[in-house]
Amino acid sequence: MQVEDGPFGSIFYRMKEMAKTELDSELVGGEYKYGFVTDIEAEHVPPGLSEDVVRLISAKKEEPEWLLEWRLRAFRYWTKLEKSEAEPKWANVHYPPIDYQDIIYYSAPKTRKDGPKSLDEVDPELLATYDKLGVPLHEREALAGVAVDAVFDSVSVATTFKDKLAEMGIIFCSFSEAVREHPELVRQYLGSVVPYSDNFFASLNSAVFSDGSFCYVPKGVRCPMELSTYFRINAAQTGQFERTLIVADAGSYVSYLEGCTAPMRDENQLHAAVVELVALEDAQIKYSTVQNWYPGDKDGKGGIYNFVTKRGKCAGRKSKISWTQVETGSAITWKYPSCILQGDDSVGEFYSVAVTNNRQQADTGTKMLHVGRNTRSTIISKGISAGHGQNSYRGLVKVLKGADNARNYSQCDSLLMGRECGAHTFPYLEVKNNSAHIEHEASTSKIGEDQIFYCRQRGIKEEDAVSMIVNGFCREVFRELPMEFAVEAQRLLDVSLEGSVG
Amino acid sequence: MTAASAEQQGYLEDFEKLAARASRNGGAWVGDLRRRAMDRFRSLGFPTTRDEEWKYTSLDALRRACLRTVDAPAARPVDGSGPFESGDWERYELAFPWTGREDSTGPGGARGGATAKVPGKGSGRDTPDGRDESLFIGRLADAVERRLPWTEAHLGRHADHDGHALRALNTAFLEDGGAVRLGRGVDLDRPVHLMYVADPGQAPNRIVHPRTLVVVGAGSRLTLVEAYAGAGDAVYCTNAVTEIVLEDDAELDHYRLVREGGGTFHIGTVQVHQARNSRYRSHSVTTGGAITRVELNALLDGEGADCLLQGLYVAGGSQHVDSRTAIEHARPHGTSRELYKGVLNDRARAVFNGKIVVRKEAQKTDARQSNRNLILSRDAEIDSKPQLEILADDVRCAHGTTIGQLEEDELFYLRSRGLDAALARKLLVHGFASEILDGVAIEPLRDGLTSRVLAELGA
Repeated sequence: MQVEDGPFGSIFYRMKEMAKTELDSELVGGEYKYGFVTDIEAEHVPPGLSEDVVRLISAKKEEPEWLLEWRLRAFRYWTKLEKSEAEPKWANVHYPPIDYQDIIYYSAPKTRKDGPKSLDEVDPELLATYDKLGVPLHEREALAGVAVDAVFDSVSVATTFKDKLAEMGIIFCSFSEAVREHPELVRQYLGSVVPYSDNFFASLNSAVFSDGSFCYVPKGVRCPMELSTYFRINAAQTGQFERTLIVADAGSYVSYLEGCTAPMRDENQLHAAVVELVALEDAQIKYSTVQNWYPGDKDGKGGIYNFVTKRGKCAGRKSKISWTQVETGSAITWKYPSCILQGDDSVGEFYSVAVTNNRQQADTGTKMLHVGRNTRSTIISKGISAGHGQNSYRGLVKVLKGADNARNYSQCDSLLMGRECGAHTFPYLEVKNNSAHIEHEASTSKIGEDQIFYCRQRGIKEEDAVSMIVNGFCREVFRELPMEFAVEAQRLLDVSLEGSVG
Repeated sequence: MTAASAEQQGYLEDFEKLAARASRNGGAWVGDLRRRAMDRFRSLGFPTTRDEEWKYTSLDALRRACLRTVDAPAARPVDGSGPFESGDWERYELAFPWTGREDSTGPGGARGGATAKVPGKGSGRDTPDGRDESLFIGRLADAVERRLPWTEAHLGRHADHDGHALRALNTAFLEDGGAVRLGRGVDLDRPVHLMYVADPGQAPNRIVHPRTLVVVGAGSRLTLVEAYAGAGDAVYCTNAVTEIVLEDDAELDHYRLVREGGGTFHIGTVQVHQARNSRYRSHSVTTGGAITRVELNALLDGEGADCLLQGLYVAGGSQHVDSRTAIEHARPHGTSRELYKGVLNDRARAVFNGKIVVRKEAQKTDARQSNRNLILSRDAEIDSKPQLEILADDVRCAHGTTIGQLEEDELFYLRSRGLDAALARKLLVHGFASEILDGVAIEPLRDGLTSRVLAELGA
């Protein structure tokens, strides 16, 4: 595979030299020794999960009592789940059992006493890492016009454009900071869309979440730039449990981008994030993800287990939440960005491209829950399977009794490239109101020989022809992405599928 | 072995009675098959809604009802005036009525004399008597007792009961039902009509396990009408399993009609095994019953096999109807087409679950599936779950589902031409259902079904 420039394509390969990590973290008389992660000193809690670890995370982050209580409730609930049924078993994915006592639940770059005040104070090693990742954190900020809340392992390191946003009343900061600075907002909305009892991984996240992003857009404000967070899992053996909460107040608009990458490692790492979106009356949230966690090698060794709960609530009238995702990474993806369409006339959208190559497995889709009247939802899902990849679309469209005139259109297409891969579709449609109009379509096919022939006839190389056709197949989704993401997504797709065509 | 639950106790007792009585009939393999199946039922227990396969259909009421098993019904001629009017058409007919009156169904031995010589209505001709191995139309119990080789070769070999409690239960109690065997190159001159008729009368809370085996030889053609009908509102359960084997180039038109009484549970499985270039066409029409669940599984296990499934389910009142189909393409060049339509009224609830599996070897498969639902009332509910599992790459597969109501503008169009609201509605519902009903090639049967469907909807 070729190493190319760009934030996504070649990250793993560039990170190779950084992957040699030795961990040496031990609790000695209440103090932690510092292990090495790349060249950055990191602070770890020893592996394992107990009430003490939850208390320790909370204490380290100097959280208020109510948040600790919430974490503990989540932890107790999770413990109960783990004893009874453990992880959800219904997804079409296979992996050896996860030892939750073998995971490090907190890992932070060693911070100076008071934390970085500005970019200049940020560890240059860290900035260099982001540079390699292509995150426009420093001098590129103006160029890209992206405000980045960069999450390095568990602690938010630097936030750019914050002042500019603050002028408009937009709060965009790390989750920990939000807990300190805006506890009333966090307390009001935390768990209001994804309660801690939602599912096994959401419970786990609620108990041990370390950091993430928080965004609040006040009434009537249109956020002038795309907000963005880059997540990276750096330290070996650590799980990442970030939590994102975005609240769009009445009449506001925000577009949020999320890019994920992780270095290459032999063992599997768990990533169990929670994202909650709340759109009040007339508000609009657009959430775009390009997920490129390390997928494991050709034989399926290593890679991220990406078990994520993402859900948005259209709480007010005429609100709108739109999810767009390009999923090319991770050994296993288990992810269903969903919309609760509670407000009358609210709109939910889900656009997804999921690629599985080599031994990757993806079980992804969405849930559209129609509660209010005249609610509408659109689902466009494109699955591409290559190599030994297994790709499942799993979705639910549920129309409740009071949801008069609900409308849904779903389209799930799968493209198969290679004889060993699989494509699966599991849509659930549950309708309890007769005024609903629900349409679902799905198709599975391979790239037509006549299409290739047509391109070849016009002098286009077979490889380019395949790339063109695949991009065409995904176009409905890519055009929903912000410009710079769309370009990257196309390139990422080519890289992901390299070697699987022809 | 897990201990049997209280709800299973009655089944165990009834099973031992059957085992003692039926031990001398047929080869030892039948007894072994029954016992293995009973052991599976014991360990599986009744499915619950936590089981993904039964997510939308609860059998709690059936489990709690602790139904007792009736002896397999005797085959006997009927005059066609039963609760199931099937119209006037030429056929070989075999009926399996059971009634709630204890004296009418004695122990198996007493029925030994019952023959399968049932005149086709209006024909006066007898069915072939089964001595000729290439042709058998009669009772399964008879075929098993005479140790006809195709029974052991196929009975219980296709409908998997390892993971399915109700199929296991049917297999444990399998004794009688229709059996049809066509040898090579037989083109039967008229349809075979199997009627399973229930009249629980004074003795409700019974369960009956009809078992049907159909083996169509290479190049043969058959039309089969398999009808289940019940009368009254008493609680009873029909737990049916039908195994169908199509050898190379065989063709079968299969009509499966369910019209159970108001208090009935109807649980049915049709398991089809298709060899090379065989053609299977299924037309399933389901009305009536409190809880109806029909599973149709087709395994396309030969190159170029062709499968067409058409279904119509109509439910009103508080009925619950669950249609489940699974088409598994195991060999290359197979074709499958599926269209299931549902019409729901009142507080009825319908479930559709359609699965298409394309195995790795099944290249060049062309599979299409469609489920369309019409909801006529505010309180009806539909849960639809089409499903594709594709493991081969050179295939074309598609499915689609729609759920909606009668279109306002279509109603308006008819009203503007002077039709009253009720008639306009009736016309549109008829139009919706006729796409399936028109596929019924036996005209009197089609007319009967059409008027029944419309009556059911009060349209």
